[in-house]
Amino acid sequence: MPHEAAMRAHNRAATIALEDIDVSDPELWRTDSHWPYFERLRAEDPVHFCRDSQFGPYWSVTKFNDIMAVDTNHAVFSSDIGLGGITILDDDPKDALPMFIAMDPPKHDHQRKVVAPIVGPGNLAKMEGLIRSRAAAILDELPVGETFDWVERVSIELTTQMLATLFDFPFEDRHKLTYWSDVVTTLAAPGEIVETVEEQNAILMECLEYFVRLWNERVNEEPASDLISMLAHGESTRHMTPKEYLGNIILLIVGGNDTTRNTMTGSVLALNQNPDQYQKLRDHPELIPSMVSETIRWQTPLAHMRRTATCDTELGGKKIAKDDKVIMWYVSGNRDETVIDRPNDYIIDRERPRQHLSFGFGIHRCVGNRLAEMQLRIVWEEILKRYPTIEVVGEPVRPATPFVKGYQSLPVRIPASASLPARPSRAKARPQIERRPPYRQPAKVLAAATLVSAAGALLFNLMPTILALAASRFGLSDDQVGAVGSSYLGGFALVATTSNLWIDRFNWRLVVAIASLLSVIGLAGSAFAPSMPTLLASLGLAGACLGTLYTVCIAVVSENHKPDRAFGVKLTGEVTLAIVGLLAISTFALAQADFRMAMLLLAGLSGAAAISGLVAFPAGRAVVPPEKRFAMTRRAGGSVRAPRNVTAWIGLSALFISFSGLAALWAFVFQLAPTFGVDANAAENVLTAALVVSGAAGLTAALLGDKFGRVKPLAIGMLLAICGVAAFHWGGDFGPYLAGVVLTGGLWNFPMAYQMGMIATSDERGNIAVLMPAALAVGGALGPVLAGALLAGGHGYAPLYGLFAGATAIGLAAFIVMGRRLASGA
Amino acid sequence: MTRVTFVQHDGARHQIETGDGYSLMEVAINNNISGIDGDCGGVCACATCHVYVDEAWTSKLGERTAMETDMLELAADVTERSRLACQIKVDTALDGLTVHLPESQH
Repeated sequence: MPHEAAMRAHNRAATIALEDIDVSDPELWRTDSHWPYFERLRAEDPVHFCRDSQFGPYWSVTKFNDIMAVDTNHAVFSSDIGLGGITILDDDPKDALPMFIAMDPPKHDHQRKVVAPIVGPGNLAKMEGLIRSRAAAILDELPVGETFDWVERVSIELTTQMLATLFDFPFEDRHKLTYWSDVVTTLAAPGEIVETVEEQNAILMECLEYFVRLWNERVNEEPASDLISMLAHGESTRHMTPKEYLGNIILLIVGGNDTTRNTMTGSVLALNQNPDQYQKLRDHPELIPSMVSETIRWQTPLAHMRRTATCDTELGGKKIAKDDKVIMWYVSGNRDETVIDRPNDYIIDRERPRQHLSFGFGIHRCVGNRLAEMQLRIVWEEILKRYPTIEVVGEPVRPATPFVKGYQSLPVRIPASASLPARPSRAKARPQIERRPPYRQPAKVLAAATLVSAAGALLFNLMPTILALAASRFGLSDDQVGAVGSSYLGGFALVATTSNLWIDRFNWRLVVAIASLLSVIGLAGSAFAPSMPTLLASLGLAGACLGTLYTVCIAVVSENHKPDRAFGVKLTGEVTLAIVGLLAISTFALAQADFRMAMLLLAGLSGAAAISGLVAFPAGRAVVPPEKRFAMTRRAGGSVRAPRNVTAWIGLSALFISFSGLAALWAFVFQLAPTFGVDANAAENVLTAALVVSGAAGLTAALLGDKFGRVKPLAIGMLLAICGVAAFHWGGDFGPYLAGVVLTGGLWNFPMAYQMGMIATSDERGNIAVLMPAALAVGGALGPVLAGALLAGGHGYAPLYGLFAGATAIGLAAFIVMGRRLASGA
Repeated sequence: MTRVTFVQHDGARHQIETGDGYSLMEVAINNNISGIDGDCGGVCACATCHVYVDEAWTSKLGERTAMETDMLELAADVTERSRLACQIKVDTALDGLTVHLPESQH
């Protein structure tokens, strides 16, 4: 750095109070002016506490042996992502990808063991030839007699090609590897290559998609020696989740990318700054391996690694508390003169060249260290064969970060001479990464889906009323009422559970048109049904068709870029149509207990909503759904079965059980009314209120999100539901009836949103969460028939209340267990 | 003086006479035996001094330490006869010790 700036830095470092020193300041790194601060700390306060920084408070460990002591004591100084990870910036464990660099044993050991052979001695020997020929090709194209950027033309290009080799990545797409690596390591901010975390995650999902495709291509072929094939075939990795897979990929892309890149650039800079060493190298090419290690020391491409204390401990006479952040400043340890002779000098033939901290030590020591050394050695062997000198002709530009210590650009020039004629640049620009703009669902599509979904949900929402009317029209006993409810819901369930088989085979507009038509026929048919069997059949048909509409709409709404908001809109639409339906029925059918009129009204409303929705309804998927996008084919056979995701299954079962209880109660809610002295009209009003509450409940869940976690809101909702059914049981008039209906059916959308959220989160492979609609549908079909059977026993409604309370309590207990398992990382 | 023998992967044998108090790793480094790297300088922190102890000698050495066991996870082709040379203190009781070196240190 320019002389005056260096002087200024020295003065400031010398005069500042020790306790005010904050070596994490990104500006120090951008200007390469951290050195005097570390000198002072090593001399006066080697284990130094910084009270406050943009990364919070942290300990700096600055001397070689202290750093070694921390690095080798993984039990006390943890790398675990749950404690913040391995850099000074605390990673959020929720967003973070699982990588073994940020794990402790035993999980760390299992994962590292699988990856290690890829960069082990056998593979390195195999790769040497290819690395050399690629290095040669790049070096042969460099301009002579012209200034160019070494970072862009050589460092980035070489390391990217290296990575492509490790993965056997399609060579023409290799620039994507550099891009993804840069995206991962950037702090999202305006002006950077990713401006928001959302954008960053979307790009990582594209990366995962690409790698999943490669996995699926190789999994059933013969095992090869690239990393992807090794992961797909390895016994302990073939069942890894998409998230774990991406985590390992990213670790290798990042670990093998800018570190090697920056050392390659650093070597040119270091040799230029120390011309006597450069001459020594030309005269003694056998010193290349030693020079490589010295450059890695001098550059220290990762300036620090971070650990978190797992208990109170002592280091260098200081007391470190549990949970304190401890930074091992490798860059400082590598300049510790009590361990390294003349550490600030660049000496390419040191006696112990590998005596440096840049790869770390202990169980997390860089797994690719020999590969890095090999790449650098080969490049310099090839450079020395071709170019006697590479001159640095401008100032390097450094990134503003205390972690990656490197170069964004370094202008260099290879001088022409008698034996090396000038050669113009034949630079190919780095291919631009085209980003498809993310899919944004048009509002009218959401509106269309809302209308059609409202049609689909109408009968379920009004089921209590319809069942009561049917009961009076046909003189039905309770178990027959249950059967009627279940016939409808059974039709619904059949369609929902088999949705995977048909949903992608047909044009959705066609499906909506036919299903709407048939559902109107079914509903009208039930209006005119002369007997039970006909009633059951037509309701079954209506259920299947309305279920079809509902299921397709879930697929459409799931594609919305703001899913919480979109599902809230859909829910509001369903509730609104239901309220309109209730009003219509109250006005025209209720007083006369006219079942026929009620069904015709429903047929009309449902048909009208579905047909109007058809106008803007999409013909099929706009995007590939996640469970297909990241579906990893598993190698057939093998002795290790995929791990059972017990946690997700617990959740799914609990969802099924508690929803059955709800459906059971809900089927009879209108019929209960007389036992509370509530007449039909009042009961309608109560149901309307419950519908409004259900809309609000769903919206509240969407707005609240997981601010208070998921188990707490879920528990509150389900406990209130139990209170509601208690009100049913012990109350006898309007108040308890209202309370019961609102707290059980009305509120249900609130806890259910969190139930579904927990299941989705626990299911990383995606094959259990897709069963949720089926669980609801089957539970919903089972409930009424169970209720009917219970009520037929003739003990009043108490058994029904017991069923609901029992199902809800079992469900709640299961979700609490699930919450504990998720929290402990199961 | 104690004699120890290093057998390299290609079969080449090197017999060294050494005084007491050195670790086996130091003996190798000081005598330029290639195949043992010892990056960390002998503090059980890098697993680049991996050796296979000959059958006859495994019981004469102490048990592996916990740290040595952890670090051996990082080495390639580890067997029950694997040790880290920096954790073996050479003294006269080990006179005649023979170890085999792996193809390369990881």
